[in-house]
Amino acid sequence: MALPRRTLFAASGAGALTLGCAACGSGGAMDPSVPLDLEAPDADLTGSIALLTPDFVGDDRAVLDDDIIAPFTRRTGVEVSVDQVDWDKLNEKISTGIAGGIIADVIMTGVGWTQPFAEKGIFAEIPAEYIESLGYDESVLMSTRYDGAYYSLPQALDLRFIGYHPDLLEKKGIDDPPRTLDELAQVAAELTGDGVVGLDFLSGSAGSARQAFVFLLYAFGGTLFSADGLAPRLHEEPGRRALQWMLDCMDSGAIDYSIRAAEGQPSPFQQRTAAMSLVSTGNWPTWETMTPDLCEKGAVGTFLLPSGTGSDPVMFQGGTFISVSSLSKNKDAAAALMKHMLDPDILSAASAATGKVPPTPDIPESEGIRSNLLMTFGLENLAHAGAAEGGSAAYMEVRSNLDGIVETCLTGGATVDQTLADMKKLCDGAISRI
Amino acid sequence: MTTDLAPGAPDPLAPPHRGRARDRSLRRQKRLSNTLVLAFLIIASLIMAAPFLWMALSSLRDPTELARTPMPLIPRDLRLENYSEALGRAPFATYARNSLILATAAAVLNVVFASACGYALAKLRFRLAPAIFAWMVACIMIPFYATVIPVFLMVRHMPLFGGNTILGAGGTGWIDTWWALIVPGAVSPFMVFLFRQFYVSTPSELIEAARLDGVSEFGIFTRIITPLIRPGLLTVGLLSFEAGWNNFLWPLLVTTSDDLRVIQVGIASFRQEASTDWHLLMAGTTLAAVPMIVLFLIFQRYFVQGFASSGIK
Repeated sequence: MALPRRTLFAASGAGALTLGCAACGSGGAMDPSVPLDLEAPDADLTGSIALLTPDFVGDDRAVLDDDIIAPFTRRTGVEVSVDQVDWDKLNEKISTGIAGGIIADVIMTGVGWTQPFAEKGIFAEIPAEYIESLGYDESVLMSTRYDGAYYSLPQALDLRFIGYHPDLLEKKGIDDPPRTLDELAQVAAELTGDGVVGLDFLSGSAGSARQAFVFLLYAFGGTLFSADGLAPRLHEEPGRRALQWMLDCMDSGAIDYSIRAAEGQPSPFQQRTAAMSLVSTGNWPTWETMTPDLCEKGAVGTFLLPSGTGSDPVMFQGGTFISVSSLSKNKDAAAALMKHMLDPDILSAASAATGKVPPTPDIPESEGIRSNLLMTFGLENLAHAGAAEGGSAAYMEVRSNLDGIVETCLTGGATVDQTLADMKKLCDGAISRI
Repeated sequence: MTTDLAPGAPDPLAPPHRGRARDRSLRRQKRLSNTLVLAFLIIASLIMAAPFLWMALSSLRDPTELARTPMPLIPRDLRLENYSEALGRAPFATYARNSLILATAAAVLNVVFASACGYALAKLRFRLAPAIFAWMVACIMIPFYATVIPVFLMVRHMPLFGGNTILGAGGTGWIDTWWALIVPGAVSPFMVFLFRQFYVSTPSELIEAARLDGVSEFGIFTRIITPLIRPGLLTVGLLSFEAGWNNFLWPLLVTTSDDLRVIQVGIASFRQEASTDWHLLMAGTTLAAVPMIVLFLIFQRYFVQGFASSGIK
């Protein structure tokens, strides 16, 4: 029997549609509602799992393979394959994985990523009893919660505070670091001159303009979002004061927006063209390679960003957080790997390799940690690490656009009022799309 | 009596030395303009080559020299260890092999499929040819980011591969396989467009004569017309090879194991969240750029000729 061409077209079209629908509909055969069992005995664990990580690149990869994963595999018999993706492309990797229903069993992301992926149902809930048993400071757990439940745990932190050249301060007769933001602005203005800028806050050597704004926002007692993450708060009075503080410092010359270092060149602070600077614990490896004299004891002084409201000083918190995929087919093994990676010995090994700060000071001391003066300072002040990005499921959309809004204000393209209105509009729009 | 001279015509009454002087002046002007053009081209070439020179020089610098301000233009010590160190940091031999396979497959498959498609659009008469050509041109304008997720879904739900059922569910399809790396890049709308432009410029009379001589349509395509567009084949081959060699995001998204990662992904391993090993990054980038530079130097005559004859200048 000869089939008419039109019938053939219609039949093949319907076939393709059925195939597509069936494929998409049954793509995720896993059950996201299965809770994490962190007490599963090692003997019960089998199979293999995948770990997605943006950390442990280059030489550090050997530490991940030999000192972190190998003991886990020896103990449990579970094979772990590592998918390494750099930070710039991590969101694309996770997003395409979610769309395709293929996502690693254990996922490492950043601060501010937990709520958006927890809201999408990608991260599995972690039992609160387990987290409480770890004894971590509340400051490092803030970013791990969504809707009252825990969905991630800090594995390595990148902490930011202010660093200064003690000799440059001494030269101006300044003996003690400033205790308030007004004092900081005043000291920065005093230090400015003779080719030196008082405070390098915006050169990008320790984070973007967005992060500098968020840091100040917390110093002025603000937050990015309401507690439930469904209303923006960054446009309120603390946000206004944060923007105005930066603009005032730029007016007095204490902060120079145009001070930048070319890619690959030392930062203004390393070049001693900035007396004080926002520094990150992640700067230490660069200092060791480029300007080792800064790594000597006493070469650099550090202090937390003073509060603008008379309360405690604050430290900015970035870092790598670890989660288990709710779509994992081998959740028990994935949960066991997460637990293994938070073991104090493993945290110590990871910290020594990556130079990042462990989420708790209760880990075995190593030479890598002891000799890293920025890390030591960060660990001593972990309780102050309250300034962090995130807080809303809409933050992934907000973060990519917030930089431009802050930069526009700092370059005179918008007034403070316009900037705050733009921030609110951006957040409202993103929240409405959750 | 006066004689009217046409404007610009030589004045027969003018003394001969005035003509020689004008010749000299014209020659001087020409020499001057040639010198200016040459100077402009040298400066433009240096500006264009500067990033590559900087990359090559930085690949030989000591990290502390990179940190100096101002950085000396010529490295004080040539630090060749940067290359061995870079090669030791990641399995670059595997990455380079994978990139070579991917780039070669992209070049061969694009030449085979895009030439056939371009030939059909340029020389075969069928009603939908203009619409298909317009569709191809429209496809060129769709950014890669817009198609990433649909293509990823197709790759992931490929029936009967990677544990998938006939309906494309239950497994991982082509994810983390050579299929995922090669097939989506096997034919590109831009290459089809390029081939169509090449074939349009070939004489249709040859096709008609070949048909009269009884040559098959496939024979006309492969033995009569395609040999006429050799620069086009090389251009497409080289462009596809370059695209395959420099491919970064797609291999990153569809592979999970190190065994299938490509050289561009390997280079990214020198960048960390807060720091970059610039000396190693530059050594790795120089190594990755060398094959493309060598290929271009060998085939540059055909490459330029190809672009010129396709009308894309």
